[in-house]
Amino acid sequence: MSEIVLENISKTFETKDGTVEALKNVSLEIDKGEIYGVIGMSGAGKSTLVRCINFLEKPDEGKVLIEGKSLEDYSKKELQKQRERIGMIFQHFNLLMQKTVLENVCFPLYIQKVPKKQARKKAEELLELVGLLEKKNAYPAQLSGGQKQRVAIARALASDPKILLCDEATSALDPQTTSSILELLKDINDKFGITIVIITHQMSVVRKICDRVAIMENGTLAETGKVGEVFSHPKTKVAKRLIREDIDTETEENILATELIQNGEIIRITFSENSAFEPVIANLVLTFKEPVNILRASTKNVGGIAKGDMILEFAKDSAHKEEMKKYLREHEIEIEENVDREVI
Amino acid sequence: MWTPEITSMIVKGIGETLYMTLFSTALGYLFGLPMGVLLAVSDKDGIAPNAVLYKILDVIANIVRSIPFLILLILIIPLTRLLVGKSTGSTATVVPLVVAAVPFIARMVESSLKEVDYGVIEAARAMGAGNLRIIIKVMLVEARTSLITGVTIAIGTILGYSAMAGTVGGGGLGDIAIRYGYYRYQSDIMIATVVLLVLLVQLFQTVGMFFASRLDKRK
Repeated sequence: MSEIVLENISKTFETKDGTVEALKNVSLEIDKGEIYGVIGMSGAGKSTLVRCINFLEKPDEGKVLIEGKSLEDYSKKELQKQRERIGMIFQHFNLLMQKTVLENVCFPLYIQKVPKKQARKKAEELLELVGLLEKKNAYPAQLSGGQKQRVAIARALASDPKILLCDEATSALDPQTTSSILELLKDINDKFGITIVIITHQMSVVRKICDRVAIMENGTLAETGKVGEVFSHPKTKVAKRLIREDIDTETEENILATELIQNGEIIRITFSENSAFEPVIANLVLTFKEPVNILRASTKNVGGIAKGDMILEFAKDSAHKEEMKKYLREHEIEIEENVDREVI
Repeated sequence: MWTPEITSMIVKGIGETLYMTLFSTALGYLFGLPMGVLLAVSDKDGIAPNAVLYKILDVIANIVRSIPFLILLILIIPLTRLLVGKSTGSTATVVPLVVAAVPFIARMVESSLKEVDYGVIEAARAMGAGNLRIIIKVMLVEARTSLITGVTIAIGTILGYSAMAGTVGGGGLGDIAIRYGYYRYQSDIMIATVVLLVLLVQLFQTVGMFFASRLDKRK
């Protein structure tokens, strides 16, 4: 049975500029223990969607079922009890700035009237888990963004939640810190089997840790499915757009090659002005009847002349590798052999 | 002309001023703090919007704050008599001081609480906190620095009001300044009391700011 079920959820907001339909008849099922991504451009309604899961926003229409029970049927007190089992982290961390790291993590436990000593013990264990035990007496203002998010994660875990909601949790962080936070979330998912719902506008986040993804646009779900499938066969325009943006940023981060291609030799080739007119790569493949992988292609300006720059990968057990290199050189193409995968 | 009697009178005046100011501030917060919390909470962007309650408190606060203190002092003499039994002296002055201070304090509390980052409140709500806990454990804690600054401002203002009460026999340093300085043309005594009033305000301001910044953990 799905742990979280959204049934035909709609939500409208009245703003100064008129009525905004944040969610239009959205249905979604999230399974126990999976990491589910909800991605969309800003204003697509994804933040509203995640707030419906713990009823921070009450949908105008439709049902939210957690473990088969509708949140609507709960009394105010029962709803508060239910929320204790649904942790949440935010883009701007939302820590108590006037309290120490330890007291922040204790906070949800104090709400549940857990005795102080017991709460502190638990909080210290969680800080150990997120690697910040030595900062327990620091105040949030003394921490970096990544550290603040780790504290927020420890706080969200304090009440042993079954579900963890992440609202743009890595959007305020740099790429390295983002990766480390995502690893931590993955660890938590593995270790405790917590269902994680990740709201983001970054496809890279979805690609790195999500099992399934829902793509949102204008308050509706454009596409849902396994991350691999959506990536390889995006059906909708918005999905294609998000994936393309992701690939663009990834190329800058130089990680693409390591993930998509298996281990052949990588070379960098540079076209001169003359050779750019001829379909060299196509002819190369036709001549040797052996595929090469184009990992990246771009033009660069060398001394005022536009030059084509391409990263190729040969098949792992290429029979014609050396002959192919020779062929390229004969066509006035410069080759840099054995390019390190990390520096592409 | 500077006799021991005058010295002891001034010392007594300082005592009365402190008594009126601090007692009125304390009583002012006793009523003003809850009123300010209700204003912040019931506002349309608050955690429990209630247009009717907000409007009632809003109107009360505005009416009282728009009456000049001297007028208020005279206006509520019947109430003062009812509560204290007389209308002159330091204790009697506390009544109008509190009446004037409550809406003023409520407004400052309201604005302090509204500064609290909504995200933190939302986080607490997501953790299962009810409104009362959010007010006590989140809003009042996060607004601590601003609230203490507010107390400092309240003390300074109430001290000024208490001096004004001197004109109608309220006691304290203001009373002395009016009686000696204004009616008897003894400006040296008036200057002395004014200097003392300035020093008192400075003292409260310095102490208040010290605690406000000492207890601020945001930097």
